[in-house]
Amino acid sequence: MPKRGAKRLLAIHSRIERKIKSFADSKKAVSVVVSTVVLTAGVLALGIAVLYWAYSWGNIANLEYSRAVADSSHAVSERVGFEYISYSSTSNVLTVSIINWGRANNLSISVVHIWDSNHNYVGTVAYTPSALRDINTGTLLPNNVLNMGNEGSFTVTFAHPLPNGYYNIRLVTGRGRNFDGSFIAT
Amino acid sequence: MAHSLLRRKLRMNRKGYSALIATIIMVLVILYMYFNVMMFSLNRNEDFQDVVSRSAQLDADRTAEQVTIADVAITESGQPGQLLVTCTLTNSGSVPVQMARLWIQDKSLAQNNVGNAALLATPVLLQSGSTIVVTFPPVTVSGAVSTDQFFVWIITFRGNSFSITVN
Repeated sequence: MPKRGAKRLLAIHSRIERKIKSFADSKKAVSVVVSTVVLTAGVLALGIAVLYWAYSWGNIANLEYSRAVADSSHAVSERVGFEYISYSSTSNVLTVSIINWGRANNLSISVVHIWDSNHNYVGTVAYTPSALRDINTGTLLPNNVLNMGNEGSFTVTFAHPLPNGYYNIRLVTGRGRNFDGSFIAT
Repeated sequence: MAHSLLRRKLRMNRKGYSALIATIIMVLVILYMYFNVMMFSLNRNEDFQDVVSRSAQLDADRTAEQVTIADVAITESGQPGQLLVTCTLTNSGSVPVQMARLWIQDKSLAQNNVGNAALLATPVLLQSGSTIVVTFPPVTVSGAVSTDQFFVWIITFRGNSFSITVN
């Protein structure tokens, strides 16, 4: 009985071996398999590349949109109060002291417009203000910006003396907000 | 008989299933993406609306600030041009007020007649409806004497200015 079993096992083994050999020797449909593998790999690679590309653009769009909304929010929260505006007729310099009473940090003044009581612009249409200075010490403020609750002053120098009268001043912040004040030149 | 045969044929026919499944998956993917974009946009809009509401509240608070300055006494502190201002402040508005800076202009002097003092180190706070007598930190105006005519104004942290003329 054990002899017969061993013989049968041997026969099965040799049959499997023959089958495997014939399968390995057969070259039928190999090209189809290879092409399918190549095609699948290509499609997968392309898919991953497109996915990554779309993801990157999505991320950039997300960042840009978030930044735009944050900038708008900061601009909406910006507030400037005028503390004191003085004009020196001897030096043709206007000194403006302001306070940032809004809810936005990093408030900067980019442009100053000045016009007279007849709504005519004084001198050049837009003046570039000097750097912001601390009202107490006169030292330059870091990064030329005012944070929440901070006070600062800047100057505008005119080429010619201002005639005596009432003037309006408009500050344009770095985020594009306008704040109007007025002063009298004597 | 013919009817049931047609039904059987239709049931057994697998043509067009893949297109249907692909369409359903595509619609689901598009819906998912649309939902995400919409939620993202909605959240950002909500944040922006929050900021707008807070800014409106800021303006409303500023408008509600009302401070009256009375009984102003300006004395010389001993140092030349250094003035001490004592006054009674009444908050008649509906919001608490913190003063940021005191400004003094000596109307009797022609030039360089303005001085100021920051009020951060010694905060001047007024609860709604309260009255306090306060002596501000000394302010230097070169050449000023206490008998001159002064214009005094106080700036609050909400950017308001309250003023009074003295003498």
